Amino acid sequence: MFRLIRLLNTSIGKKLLMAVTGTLLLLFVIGHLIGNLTIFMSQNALNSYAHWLQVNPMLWPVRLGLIFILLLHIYTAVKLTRSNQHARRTRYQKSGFHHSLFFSKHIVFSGLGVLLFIIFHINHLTLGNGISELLPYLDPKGNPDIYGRVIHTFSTPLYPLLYLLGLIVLGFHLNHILRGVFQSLGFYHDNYAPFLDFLAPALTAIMVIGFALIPLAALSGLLTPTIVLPPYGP
Amino acid sequence: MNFTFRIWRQRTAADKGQLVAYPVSDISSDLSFLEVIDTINETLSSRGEETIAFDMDCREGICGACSLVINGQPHGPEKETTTCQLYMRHFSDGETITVEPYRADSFPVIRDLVVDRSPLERIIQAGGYISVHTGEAGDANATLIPKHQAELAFEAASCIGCGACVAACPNASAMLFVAAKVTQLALLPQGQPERLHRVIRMAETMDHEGFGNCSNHYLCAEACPKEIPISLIARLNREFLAAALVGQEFLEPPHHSVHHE
Amino acid sequence: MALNSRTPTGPLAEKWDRCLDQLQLIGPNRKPKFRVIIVGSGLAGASAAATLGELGYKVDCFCFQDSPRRAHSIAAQGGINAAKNYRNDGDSIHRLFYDTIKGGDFRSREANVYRLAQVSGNIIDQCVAQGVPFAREYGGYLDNRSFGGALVSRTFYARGQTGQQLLLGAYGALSRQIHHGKVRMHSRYEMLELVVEQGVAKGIITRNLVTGEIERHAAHAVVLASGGYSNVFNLTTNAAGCNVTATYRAWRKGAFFANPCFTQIHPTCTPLNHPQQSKLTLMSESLRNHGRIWVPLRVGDERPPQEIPESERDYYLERKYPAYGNLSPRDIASRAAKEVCDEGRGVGAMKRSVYLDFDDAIHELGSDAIASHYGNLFQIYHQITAEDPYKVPMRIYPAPHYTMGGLWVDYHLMSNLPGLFVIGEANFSDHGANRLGASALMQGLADGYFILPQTLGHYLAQQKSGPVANNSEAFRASEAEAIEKIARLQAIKGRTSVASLHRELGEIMWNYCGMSRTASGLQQALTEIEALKEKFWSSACVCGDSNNLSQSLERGGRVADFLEFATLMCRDALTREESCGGHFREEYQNEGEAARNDRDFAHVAAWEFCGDEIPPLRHQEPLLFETVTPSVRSYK
Repeated sequence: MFRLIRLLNTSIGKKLLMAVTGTLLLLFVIGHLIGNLTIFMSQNALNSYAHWLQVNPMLWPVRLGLIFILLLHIYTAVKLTRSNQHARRTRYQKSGFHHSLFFSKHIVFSGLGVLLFIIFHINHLTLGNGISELLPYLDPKGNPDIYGRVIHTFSTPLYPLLYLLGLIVLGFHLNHILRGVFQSLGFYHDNYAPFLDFLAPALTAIMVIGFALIPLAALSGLLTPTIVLPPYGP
Repeated sequence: MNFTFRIWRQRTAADKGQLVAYPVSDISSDLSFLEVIDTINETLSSRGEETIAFDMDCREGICGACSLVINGQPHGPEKETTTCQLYMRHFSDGETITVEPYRADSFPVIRDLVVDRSPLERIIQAGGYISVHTGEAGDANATLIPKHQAELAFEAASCIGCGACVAACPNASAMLFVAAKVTQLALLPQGQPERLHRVIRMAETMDHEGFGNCSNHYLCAEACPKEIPISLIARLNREFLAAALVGQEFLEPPHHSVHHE
Repeated sequence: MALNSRTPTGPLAEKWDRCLDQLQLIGPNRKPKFRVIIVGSGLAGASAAATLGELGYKVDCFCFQDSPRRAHSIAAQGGINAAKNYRNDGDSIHRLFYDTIKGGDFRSREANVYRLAQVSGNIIDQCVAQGVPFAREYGGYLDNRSFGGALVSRTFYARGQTGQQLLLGAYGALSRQIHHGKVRMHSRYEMLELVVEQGVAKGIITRNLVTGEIERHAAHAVVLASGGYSNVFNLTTNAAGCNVTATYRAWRKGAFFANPCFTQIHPTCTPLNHPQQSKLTLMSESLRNHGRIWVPLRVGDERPPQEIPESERDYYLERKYPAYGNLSPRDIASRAAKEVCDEGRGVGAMKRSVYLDFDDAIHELGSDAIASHYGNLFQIYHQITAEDPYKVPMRIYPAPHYTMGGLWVDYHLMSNLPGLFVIGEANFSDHGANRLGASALMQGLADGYFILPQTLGHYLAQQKSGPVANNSEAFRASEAEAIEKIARLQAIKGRTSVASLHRELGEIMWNYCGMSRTASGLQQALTEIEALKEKFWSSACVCGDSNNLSQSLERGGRVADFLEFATLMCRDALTREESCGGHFREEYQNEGEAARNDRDFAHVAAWEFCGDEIPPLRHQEPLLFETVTPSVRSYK
């Protein structure tokens, strides 16, 4: 415990914490993507998967764990940013490095953007605010029709656009930090540099494109609700 | 060639300081950047004015004394080059060139372009060496070091301690400087006994001196006149993590300050 | 006054051991009660400070740079000699000793040089243990190369950065002692005066270069490790800050200055390209292994080098010295380059350089082979001059590089003033009239790690330990002198920059006291220096406040001392009526060969300061050669 506290008191330790929490969050996002992609299998597949999640006794422990990790990630980010700002309070009157450092310079902003996106997303599709009229629908098996909700939500351009925007912000964030994660965890090595340098954008691309397929497919009409059932009676 | 130099003037650490424009004309393109400041200083002298203070010594790119930020880049626009080895032929005629001191809260300005880089000294003092008394050493060839490993250690050891990495980093982080020394000694068999101890002390002193932390901008490696590679920072992280997890030294109280009698 | 070198008696090989056996020791409890001041933090100063700190003494180390790691030892490229005989090629302590003393043209003290060769191996052991990354072979063993025409491979190196890596090793050891509180490091401090009380060195007066404060520092012994005085020539391979102030001020306080005219001029440096140039960079001498040196045959030949046909080129070294050709020794090559430039056949914008042509070598061996030998050097040259040596011949010119002269020391490295020790380039002892390649690093570290820490203890053992006072009359007077000098500099309020006055001094010294000297030239120099001194004290601009960082004040003080020191150099060159090593008097030669005069000048000239108005006194320490017989070199 003493080791852990002392480690987290150092800047390298904090970076490590950022990397570890970030990696855990990324693992969640990967799982989330795999689950979501069941939408392309069938309505039943997605709805059963969603139902399985809903009735799973681990649901809340995992959710609380994720919230804790996210808060830790944000808290550490704020602390690091503040100490960094403190380390260099005077700026250069003329800034010199012209090539694009846009992503890394705006890591904090992209992080904030991702946070907003998460809040919006949970509020929207998980809590169902704004789509309350869709909530009562059930599929033939009696599971809530998540499939239908998704298709309906993304059938007009507004929500797909908002989600795509959110995904782009997430992409910025991931692309930068993935390289940094290898660095902070100490994996980065000149021997493997080309592979790791390829891995970061590749993983980011898979994430962004994978998630983006869903609203795009719904908007383009590729995915349509096959059976629409009336709301389960009062 | 003709230029306008905008140079940071600041009489004392407490003063506010400002950029002052100095036009220079009929400059040979073979002049080095510092020689242009020399000529400005000669002009100032002939008017009885105080010369511009700037650090330099060897003027052959090895002592690490020169420390200017030229158009926002430590050591100027050329890669792998210290300010003293930068020649005017790399600038375009008529250009306005802005010269500022290193900016980092750990490196306060002493005067004009001169800053105090002593925090780097204290990082080395905390453990950037192998503890061997004069006379203790065995025969030099008693310990073999593979050629490749010796060369990697040499590359890390070629850091000249100029502090450009700190000046370039938006967080004023000294990670690359610390990483270079930690790597050099971690790669050598002679450095093994103190390996864990060293990285703990150096990294904690780095924090203690108020340097920021790495947020992966990698401008340090870009500014480094000796091309210390960025991957050394990953090695520093690795070394530190290992020391934190298994090093007995990590349970001992931290060492921050120099012990004086 | 008789100079006692305190050289031990007995066979050469046993002298150092005999000396060690007779040295008085100090117990570990008593050592912390002695304070030692070290001025300078290069190889000699840093290694001495670290070692004395390890032994338990209280050390105060001073340097004018912002960090001890920046001392100019860092710029040494080539390597460091050691008689390890790892190559089984017949090297030995005696052979290294003989090469060094012969290289010095038999103007150094046998016993000192032998000791240097004896401890040379320990230096390598020590540095490797410190983590100095020397070049290695595939088997993991240390690599060696032959350097500067040596017949054996005894030079250890770390690419072109040997000096840097050795200094970082010593700096690490020093940093460790600073961390342990054994050494107090005073960076950005300059020594202004030595304090001498009843003939004994008691401390120094310094200026804090940041705050301008003048401070008194008292100690049981003072060690000067302040380097050489090449910068008296202004344009040199030395760092801008290198200066003579510490040793010159000590001279004025009674320490003898030995052989100040022994300076080394390196033949292969980057040329002077424009009048504002501040620096000549050394290019490794190894370039002469493949490059051919030439100038146009005709004065005023303005054609680019490629258009000058073979028949109109003068390969003057090959012509004058057919046996050695382009590999003629440093002093001969330098002198020949100056001669052809003086004839008006120099090349380049300032007509102050000669061609070093790789065309033949590239044709013969291919440019890849040349790149593997000299790629790095070609790149440095290209960076400085914007000329590509693969296409156009390099241009080189000699530049002052190292000074063999320095404060006189005995076998214990103590000057004639008890309590004042001098090590490294600042003393005169080991290189005679000419220094061999790769031996400067060796001497600095030998003095600092292995010799001084022993002999200094012997001196301290005879002193009273405990607190030292800095309030005596001598301290007050020395401090007043330092303050008065600063006030005088600031009172000039002229309009001539110190830099331009330094340039003028450099030109006088280069022309009359450089690589080729004559009695009339040296007389002329003495007159011109006097005039320049007056010009300095009436028109120099030393502006800026004394209670703040003021680089113009720093340089003003240094140049003022160079001006006075230059006179001493010329006097020494004038009175040494022979040619030896780096000192070439045109009157004493056999058809271009230096004519050494062992009958009258096999001695060290040690100069004593007698006052500003009285000429200094020249003392002699005879050089006795018990083991070697001085031979005459010939390169024809």
